[in-house]
Amino acid sequence: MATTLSDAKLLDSKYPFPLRKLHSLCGIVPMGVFLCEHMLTNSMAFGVGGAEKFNDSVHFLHGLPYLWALELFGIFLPFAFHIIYGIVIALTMAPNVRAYNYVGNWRYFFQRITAYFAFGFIVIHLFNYRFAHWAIPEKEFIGSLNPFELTRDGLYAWTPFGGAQVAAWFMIALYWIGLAAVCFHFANGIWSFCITWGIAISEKAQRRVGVLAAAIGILLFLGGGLGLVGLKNAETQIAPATEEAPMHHEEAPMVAVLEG
Amino acid sequence: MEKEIHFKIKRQQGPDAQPYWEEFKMPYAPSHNVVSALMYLREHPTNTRGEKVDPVVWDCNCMEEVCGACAMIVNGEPRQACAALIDDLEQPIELEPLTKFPLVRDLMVDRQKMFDALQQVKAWIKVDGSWDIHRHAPLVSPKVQDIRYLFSRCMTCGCCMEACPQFHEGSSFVGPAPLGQVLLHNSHPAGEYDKEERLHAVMGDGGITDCGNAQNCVKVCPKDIPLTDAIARLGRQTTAQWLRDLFTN
Ligand code: SF4
Ligand code: SF4
Repeated sequence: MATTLSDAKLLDSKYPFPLRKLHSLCGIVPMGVFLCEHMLTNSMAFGVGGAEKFNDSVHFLHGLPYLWALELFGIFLPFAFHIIYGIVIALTMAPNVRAYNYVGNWRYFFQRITAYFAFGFIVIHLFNYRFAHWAIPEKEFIGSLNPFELTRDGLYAWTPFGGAQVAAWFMIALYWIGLAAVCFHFANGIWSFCITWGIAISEKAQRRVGVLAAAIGILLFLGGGLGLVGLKNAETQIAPATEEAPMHHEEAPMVAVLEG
Repeated sequence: MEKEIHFKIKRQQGPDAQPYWEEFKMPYAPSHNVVSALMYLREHPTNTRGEKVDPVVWDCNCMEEVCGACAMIVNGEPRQACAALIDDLEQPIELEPLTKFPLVRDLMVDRQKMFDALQQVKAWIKVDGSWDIHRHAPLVSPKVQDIRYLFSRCMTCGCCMEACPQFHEGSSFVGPAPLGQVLLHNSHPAGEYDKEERLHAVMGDGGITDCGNAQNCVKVCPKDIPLTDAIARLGRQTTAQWLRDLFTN
């Protein structure tokens, strides 16, 4: 990691312009486009028949031709580049939000803070779902028969440290904060993309673009939020599909607390 | 009770010395500004503990907010001391040197970095050559003149650099003021001849891509220079230049 970072720093001082352009473009296409699609799919989990719609959507995506290439060049490589190079950029910040308490300065600061947070979140998220079957052989691939159940399982019955209750709370909090961080980072990214690429120039134009970007961010947050709520609600609607009944141990400690 | 002017000044004997705060009080007089008050203190360098100390060192020149030399942090805000009127300031008035430039002594810093940056981005216009550039004085529309006038007021004071979270010792960023000057010189009829060189200069290390859009610079500039406007305009010019480099040249 350290050598990657110093290599990236060296490259940055040599070719800052094309690299920064590629970095910001990467955040919009393909990463932003992917995020929009992802939140759209997630939002389908909400409401009556949500499970079916969600599953259809996931199966459709996993049925796309050349999926491996789409994933590699459309998701993983751009992510890796955006993240590694993004760290190089974020490290050049000397934060001064307390001395210069302006909205713009906080936005700039949070763009970098949310980046670090989103990075951690996405790594956990990927191992929680996309690569779970690599790490834990008995886990099924997320794209298989019932993605909805697997997703619900991964979110609300996740027990890494033993205590089911603690882990579930941690996971749910992580997902809500992660979702907010990603949406903020993307919305602010759209705004600064428009400035650095010379699309929005005047203060007014920058404000207009800012409003649009904020609207996109809020919409995505709502989409993702619908998904989280939809998955949560489903636990009361749908009986656990397997005999393992993953939600069992959630109740036990609760009762113990009440009785104790 | 006689009115007083109360100063808290961050002092430092030299670049490597330890900084310390020292307080001074002087009799009130109307219409003082920070520089004129510092001049009084230079004649009466006695701190609030009654000790006679070395007079406070600071830099100043024009006394009308056009030279940039007296930039310092007044009550937490980077600005020109000459234009900071005592009557407008909350007391005790805290004075600190700018932090992004090498300290010389007390409130005096070395702003050489700024002038180096102007050189780096080629913020000048070549007027003499072996060829005849213009037969007549070039025409500039009043609209362009108005915009250029805004940027021409930059006094290289460094306030914008002080507030910029991307401009510091560990970064090679040229800072906001020089970027404004690139725009100024690119929009001059004769300066336009070297537009490409200037754009290439700000597309290199420490150039425009180091800006993180925190937009503090525009908030603190004592001359209200639309720096973020300049940076966005340069964003467009450099993007276009990059595409020209890729597909035309
Ligand atoms: S005193 Fe100052 S000198 Fe002075 S800078 Fe003012 S602007 Fe000029
Ligand atoms: S742009 Fe404004 S703050 Fe920056 S150096 Fe020029 S006058 Fe000072």
